[in-house]
Amino acid sequence: MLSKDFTQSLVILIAATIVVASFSILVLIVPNLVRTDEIRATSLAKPLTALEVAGRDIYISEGCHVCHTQMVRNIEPEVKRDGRANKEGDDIYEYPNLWGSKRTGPDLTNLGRKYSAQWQRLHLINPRQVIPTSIMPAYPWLFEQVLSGDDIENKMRVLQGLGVPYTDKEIEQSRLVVKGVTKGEALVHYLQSLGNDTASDQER
Amino acid sequence: MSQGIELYDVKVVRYFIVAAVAWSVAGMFIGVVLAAQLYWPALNFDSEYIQFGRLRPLHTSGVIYGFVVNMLMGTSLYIAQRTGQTKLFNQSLSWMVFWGWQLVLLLALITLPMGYTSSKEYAELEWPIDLLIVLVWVLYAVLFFGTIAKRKVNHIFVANWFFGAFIIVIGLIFVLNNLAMPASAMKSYSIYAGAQDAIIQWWWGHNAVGFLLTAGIIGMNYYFIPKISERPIYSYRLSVIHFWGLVGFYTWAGTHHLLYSSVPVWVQNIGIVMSLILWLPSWAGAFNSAMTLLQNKEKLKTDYIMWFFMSAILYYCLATFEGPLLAIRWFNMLAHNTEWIIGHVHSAALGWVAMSGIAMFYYFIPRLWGKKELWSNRLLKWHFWLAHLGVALYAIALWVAGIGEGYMWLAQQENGSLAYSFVEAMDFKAPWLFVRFFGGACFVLGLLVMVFNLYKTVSLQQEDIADAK
Repeated sequence: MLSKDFTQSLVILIAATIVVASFSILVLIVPNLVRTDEIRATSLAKPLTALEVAGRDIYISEGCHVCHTQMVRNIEPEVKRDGRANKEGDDIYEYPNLWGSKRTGPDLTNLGRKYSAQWQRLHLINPRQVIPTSIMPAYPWLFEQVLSGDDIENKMRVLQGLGVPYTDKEIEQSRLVVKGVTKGEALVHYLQSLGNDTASDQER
Repeated sequence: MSQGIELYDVKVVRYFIVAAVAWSVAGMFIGVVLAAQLYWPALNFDSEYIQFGRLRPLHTSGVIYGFVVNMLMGTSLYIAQRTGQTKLFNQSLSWMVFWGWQLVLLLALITLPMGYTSSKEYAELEWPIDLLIVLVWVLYAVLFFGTIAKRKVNHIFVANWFFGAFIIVIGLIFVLNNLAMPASAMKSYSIYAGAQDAIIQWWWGHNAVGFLLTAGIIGMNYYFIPKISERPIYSYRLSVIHFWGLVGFYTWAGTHHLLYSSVPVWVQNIGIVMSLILWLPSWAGAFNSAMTLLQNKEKLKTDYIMWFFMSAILYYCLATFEGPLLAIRWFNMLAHNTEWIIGHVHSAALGWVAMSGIAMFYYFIPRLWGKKELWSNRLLKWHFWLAHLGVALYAIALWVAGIGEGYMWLAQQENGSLAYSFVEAMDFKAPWLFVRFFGGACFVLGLLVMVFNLYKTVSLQQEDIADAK
């Protein structure tokens, strides 16, 4: 078999492809996965509350990350526009990351320090009421649908298992906190939390 | 070809190709709807199920998993048989792969508009569907490699190397990227957080392009381009370089999506360097394919299917030129997160992937159904020009929109304050988003012309073809 090459032996073709293609795992992926403790040491991030977790899941479910980024790059005009640049430690409780890849709408990293909750509500129900040329979809149903809170305990427990330091008491109380709140209200709570944990760490 | 066709399993190939045609129209039609929503937000109809944020992953999944994967599964299973001069490794396995994959797509069509998404770009489907995808993918790998193993010729044909790499690498990175902890039947959390999650996600995101939309399509083209041009591959040695160049460097380049982000600088730099290196194998491969077509200049003068293949190669050159450019820091600073990126992706997805697919459909479908020629060459010409008008308008519109908004985001006045508000940049690009919508609509109109033409070709008797000319 070894007298052949990948153009004649299927085994060699498969093995060589796996080895060559997965070399990047060793160099690029593994070192970054083992740095968790190091990243945590520099972090100012605070875990989201139960209501904010519910809001974040609505943010994901509605695909907000498709049009909004949560990654302020360390470039002067960008910091001026969107606030303090992201640091590696900021997102240690973000399962998964919501950095996004496209800014159809503005960056939301530090949104919680910019508008009132009432502004957020109006904007979500009809964006054109506050920004006439906005192309954002309207989300009226978010303020009609009410969360049951049935799944929040499980969610918090999974997040706890992944490394978010929730206490068991917080998890047990989470259902009562979330139950009966509209999806829109939960989302507004999440949006208003953005950037507040790092507010004390202003660089510019 | 039609006499030899009974020697191989072609029925499942036909099913895959029909599914690919159907999803190409459906996936790109949803794309046009999205483009329209970006110009007329009223088209979201204040509806939960068809608003932009939920429809967009359906567009990307429909095109990538519906159009492209169906097309690659179908052609790879055909090419493995033809080049190995053997039947499929196992027929019932092939039907399990076909129906399994259609089930994946059906579930995507249902769950994405309902808001079930993991949010990971190009891997939005939730964990139960991910498990199904992995299962079908393993069956597909067994079927493909089993068929190669059964081959009656000593040599493994070039196309099969690329299909092999496509199957292996997509399987590998899909699993690693989608590792998640389920919290309920349709909700899970990625096991990676923040910056680490982003590195894994773009390692996948970039290689969905690299191994699905590039290596897979190249594999398909390495069979069909020599076929249509009736000449052998121009340089075998270049094929070898092309192959190892892609396999060796593509998986490294994903972190160029994270320039200026909070991931470590050395990780960003690897992404930049590897993206620049990729220039070489990409253009070497493009040169190889272009020369294969140019060896038959007489046919290239008149045959629009040849033109489609040639255009695909030229768009591949454009996209693989633009790609490394966008991975360079100062270029990235301007272009990152702008419409330019969408334009770049579509000049590759429409120009390279879709035109390769279209050329393959026009060449392969008549033969797969035992027909000698197309129903109408005039419609083929119409499609060619509609498609090119569409891609050109699309790319130009988003270049202008992207450079414009990128500049407006960064522009500062002399005293250091920002020159434009975010809304001013949005208003600037609005008319260009309309041009993009129009370009996309032209492209889909061309596809509909193709579907009509191919339907006529397949359903008519041979003597009718002579009459129609």
